[in-house]
Amino acid sequence: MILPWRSIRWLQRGVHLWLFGYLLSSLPAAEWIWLHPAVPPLPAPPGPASLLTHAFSTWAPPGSAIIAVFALMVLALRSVVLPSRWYITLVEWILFSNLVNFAWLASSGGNQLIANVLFWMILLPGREEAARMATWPKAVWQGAAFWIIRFQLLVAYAVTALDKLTGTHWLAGDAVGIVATDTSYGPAWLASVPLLAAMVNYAVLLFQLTFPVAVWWAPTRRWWMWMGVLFHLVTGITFGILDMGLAFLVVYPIWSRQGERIGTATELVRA
Amino acid sequence: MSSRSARALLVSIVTLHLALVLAYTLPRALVPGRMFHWSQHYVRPLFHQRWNMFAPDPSTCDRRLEVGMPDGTWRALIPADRPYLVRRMARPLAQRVHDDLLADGSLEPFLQQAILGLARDLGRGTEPLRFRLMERCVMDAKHPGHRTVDVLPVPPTAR
Repeated sequence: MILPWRSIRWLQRGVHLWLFGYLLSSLPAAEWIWLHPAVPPLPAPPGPASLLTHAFSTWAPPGSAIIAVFALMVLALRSVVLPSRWYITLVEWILFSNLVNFAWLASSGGNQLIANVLFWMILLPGREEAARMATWPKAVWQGAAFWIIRFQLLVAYAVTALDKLTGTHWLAGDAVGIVATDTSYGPAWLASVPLLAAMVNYAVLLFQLTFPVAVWWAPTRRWWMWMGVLFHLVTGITFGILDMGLAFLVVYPIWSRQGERIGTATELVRA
Repeated sequence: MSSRSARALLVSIVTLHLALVLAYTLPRALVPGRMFHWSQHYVRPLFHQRWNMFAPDPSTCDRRLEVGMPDGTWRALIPADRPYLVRRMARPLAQRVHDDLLADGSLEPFLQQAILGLARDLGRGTEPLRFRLMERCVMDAKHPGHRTVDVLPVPPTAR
């Protein structure tokens, strides 16, 4: 199986850049979440895996989280510029999973998306030749990782849309008005134009329901991805969850046309 | 291994992973009991994820915790000048405090630690700190801007 190298490389660059930016943006809060956490960590789940993913709440010495933050920033920046290496991505995934679990109350769906994608990125090729010439068994694990990352993005949209269909306010067109008048989100003025709020409500629902279908064909993929860019930037800025929106957007390149073409915004226009 | 076998193996791995992730993340009513049980063992330790922001419905109440000041006034437990990752904790923390208060009127120890930790800038006095939960709730979903305000006292927490 020949994997689309450019898609993979743009995914790797995007995810690593996101990691660096997210951790950089966390530094003003370091005193509260990394150095002397105000919120105690949740108990680690049962099983040996928790030793790997919940080190800061089990065996790692107090204060080691901030060291992990700086180490991960250095590794992430390195992988933006230089080819990814599976062992470096493995270390990055361990560090990031631990940090997300440690600062659990400050984490968002974006953290969870990146943690999952990062895990499967360990198995992706680090060089173009490896993407084109892989043989058994490497071809199987590289291909599985590639498709799991692709489906992970679709799962996020599909699950949230299906969940909304089981409620009442999204179907009634009232959900966006409720969110807009919540002091944590906004903008409150949206609720004063009920027709607009209802249109946004159904547009969001429709976008999330159809994204997992639309990305399979080039003509619709381009439009849905641009809608996704708009959706994530607007909700990210107005709701104060820009890191979550950007987490979704840096995974988009894995769904580029035939996996070969889309990597940059310029190429997205041409696709 | 033949190309066909390799492809079959790849499809099996992806399908199995996807099925278990869906069983973990989809609304509980849509997932068969046994699949849900397996997904907890497989997904929870390494692939935990939740995609239910504003789903199935956005919360009709917005809540925030407040702390009593020595001069008798109240301020937000997490003021607006805190870094964004600290501010982000305000809402889920208030929701958990609300759920605990509704369940049995007391707070789990880790929640007590959390609200005390977030009020640590008030210094180390000897008096117990006072906390309260402010709720603004939608009464009519067609007019979400009109909200009723309720105040729930939070049990005193010793420092």
